[in-house]
Amino acid sequence: MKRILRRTAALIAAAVLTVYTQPFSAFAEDDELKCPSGITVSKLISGQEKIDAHPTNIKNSKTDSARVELVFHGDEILYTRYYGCTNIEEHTLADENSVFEWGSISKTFTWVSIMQLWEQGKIDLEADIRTYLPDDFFSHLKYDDPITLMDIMNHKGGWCEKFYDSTSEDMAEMPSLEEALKNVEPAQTYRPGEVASYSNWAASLAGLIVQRVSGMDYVDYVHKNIFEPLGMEHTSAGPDFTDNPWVREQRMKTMCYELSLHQSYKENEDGTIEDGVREEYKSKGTCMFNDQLYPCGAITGTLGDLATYAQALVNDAHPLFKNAETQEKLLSGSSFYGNTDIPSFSFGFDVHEYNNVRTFGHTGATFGCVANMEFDPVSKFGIVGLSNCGDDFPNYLCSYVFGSLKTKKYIGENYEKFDLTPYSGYYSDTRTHAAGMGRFILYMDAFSIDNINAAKVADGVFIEYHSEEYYDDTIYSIVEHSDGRHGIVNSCSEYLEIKNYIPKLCLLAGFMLCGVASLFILLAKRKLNKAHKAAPLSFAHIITAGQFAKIISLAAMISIVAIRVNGDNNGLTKTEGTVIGVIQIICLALCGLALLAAAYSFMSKKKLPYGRIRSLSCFAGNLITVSAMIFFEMYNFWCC
Amino acid sequence: MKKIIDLIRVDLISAKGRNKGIFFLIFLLTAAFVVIGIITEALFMVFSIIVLGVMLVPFITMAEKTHNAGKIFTVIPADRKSIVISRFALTTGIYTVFSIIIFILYLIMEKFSDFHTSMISKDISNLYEVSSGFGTGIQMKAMENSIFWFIFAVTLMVMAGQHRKYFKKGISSKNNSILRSFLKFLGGIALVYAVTAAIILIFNIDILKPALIVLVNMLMALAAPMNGLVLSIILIFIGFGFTLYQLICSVVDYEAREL
Repeated sequence: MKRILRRTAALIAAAVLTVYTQPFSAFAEDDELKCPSGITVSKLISGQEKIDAHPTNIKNSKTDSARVELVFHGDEILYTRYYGCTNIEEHTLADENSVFEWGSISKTFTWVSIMQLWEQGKIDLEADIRTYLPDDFFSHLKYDDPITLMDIMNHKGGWCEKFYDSTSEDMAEMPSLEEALKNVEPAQTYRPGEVASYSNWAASLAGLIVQRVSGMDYVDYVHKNIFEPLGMEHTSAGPDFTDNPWVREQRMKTMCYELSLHQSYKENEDGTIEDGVREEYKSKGTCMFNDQLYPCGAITGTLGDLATYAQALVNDAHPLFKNAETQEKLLSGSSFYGNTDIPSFSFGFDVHEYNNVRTFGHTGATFGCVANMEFDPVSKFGIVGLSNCGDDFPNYLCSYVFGSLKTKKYIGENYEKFDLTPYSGYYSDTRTHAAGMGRFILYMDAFSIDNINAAKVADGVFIEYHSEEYYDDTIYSIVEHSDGRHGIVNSCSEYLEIKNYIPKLCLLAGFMLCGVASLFILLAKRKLNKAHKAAPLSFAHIITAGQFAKIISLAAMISIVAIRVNGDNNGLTKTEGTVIGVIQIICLALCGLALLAAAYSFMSKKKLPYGRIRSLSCFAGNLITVSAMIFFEMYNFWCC
Repeated sequence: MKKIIDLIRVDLISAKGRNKGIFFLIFLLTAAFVVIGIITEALFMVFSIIVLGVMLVPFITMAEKTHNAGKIFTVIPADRKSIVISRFALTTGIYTVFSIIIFILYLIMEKFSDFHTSMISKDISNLYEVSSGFGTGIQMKAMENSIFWFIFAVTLMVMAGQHRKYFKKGISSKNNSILRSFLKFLGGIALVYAVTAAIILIFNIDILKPALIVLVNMLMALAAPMNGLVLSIILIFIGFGFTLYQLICSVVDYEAREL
């Protein structure tokens, strides 16, 4: 990271020097094309070329991971940078034939497809999606309310994050999109159209709807209606690249990397040895994105093709749509912050607020690659970037072209403080597991908003105020849902209030404590048994089994997090989930029996040393464990 | 209960006749850390409870060494269970009351933290302000409170361990001097550090990462609300729970021991 920061600083310094060492030519500049940031295009290009030609950059480019970026204006490509290697070990430099995964930028292809079908009158954005799907497609719906395509495009379908892994080791045995969606259907935990919760699953569901409405395979549809009209020959939309063997061949040549820090020694040019923390690109291999839910992130291609796609979206000739109005609608905002006209999201596209300009686009991240696409439909400037290192997000050119990310223009110099007191409480990101055996994770990620310094933008709309220099002044709006809970919305994500958070957290903590305490109780029992001093309560074996069950249940809960962390948060396999779920059901039953045994022991007239206290503590421990297991749905492996 | 109170009195009376030098050493060390905490960083006061906790049990049990007072328990009409309970109650009580006083003092000093020539917390707070964003992290206050009660719980567990060792094996001049106890405590910390480093070196941090993330996530979640109160209560519960476990084991060990 240090290296990246140093490099960025060097780039910025070089750019500044370049700008200020140019001959004074103010009159000529007036006629020149300017980026939304205010810098002229010629200065932007000459500055970037000087950076590229710097000896340090040339040297580092042979040992760093690839970061390719492109700036365009309308149909014209203004500047392209191919920096770094697609394979560091083999010193393969990135070039125009290098392919990268575009990650979630793929979702925008689904949204464009939906809008194409909408303008053809084949899809109603406000109709219930069940009209486009097979009967009884859903098995975990909680609400009868209709779910519309608009809801899905705004990530408001109501589904929480899926719990089960949808990646596939063997691409040959991959199920159909419909089957894959059914296999990992997450629980619907929010009322449709109310709560924003970013969902890969719902985006892939939209892909299935495209498939069913168009009567074509999703991949074929994207090829025929987006790739072919735009001439994108170096892009694949299929999960296994069978739709474009050239892309497959190129993708296999691209290795993916992550940055790791380590202490090492380095010999300087003068022969002195210097030690310090160094960065190293650690290879992750080809690290293919093999998700069965491919519409949400499987598109892979060259930088040039990504630029072609982005250019089409700012093109007044609207090559992707029959009518100009459809393209305008796509980039006009579909949800807004409070009652303002500031869009938070636009038909599946992210919205960014810069000093002088509002951009649209999307970012993407797979297991090995990261991607960025941003464009301004008004000035027609745009940027695309791709990288094969997850820690090297390719957005360096954004500030050159668009300026600084500043939402402070909405609050002015003497800003008014936004009072968050009426909304005080604990909130948690909605993109988490809100149902089933992973539900406890939601309670481990909650936070209080009491210490946030908020500046008012409009009624119910604020930004988190840091300082004038702080680069990311994200806008938030407060919403109140039908169940009385507040939500804090930004873009397509939301922090949702958790009512009675502290008692719920205490219940979770109590569950963990009971597990730990049971371990010591069992050890103490063993000691007393060995010394023949044990005075067991009634149904001692059941009570002991309950104590074992508490420890196993805690271990099972921890294993969920451990498996997730180990697998890069892909989720559990169905087998893992079923095994853990069955274990939890057995533990729940044993703790329930131990609860009854403790109650009986408490009421019986059997005289035992500390009998009442022991029975009562045993009863309390089992009651806490049983309550926590039921409340946090630790047994529920079928709907999560 | 009366029997236990009487036994506590016996211990307190015998404590009066003990080495005043050691008493003043404990007093000076605890007072020194309190003063350091007042003039620099309030959290430093927590070292005073470590000093008191680690030195208290050897100080009380040293009577056996200096005055052969341990024999008194073989002649007085008290069962061994009561002796164990009284000793645990005395040390745990003194330590807990002292810790509560120090915590109150710590809270008061925190209120006046702006007058401090702050060494740690302001730098960390500044860093925290810069790096934190919406919905991230826990507050510094919560972290500091949790650290205080974590140290309280660990020291309580160490004290319970000292008691158990005493009741199991009795006192020996070699093993039970106050200085040795303190050095052993520091040695224990060094050993834990060395073993952890060795495990990380041998097994590679990547394998341990999931377990660490689970632990840190849980601790952070519990530390976040109400300025760390939830985590503090849990830590206190664990400390006393472990003490209770050691008490039961000590009773069994002491009853089985030949005096």
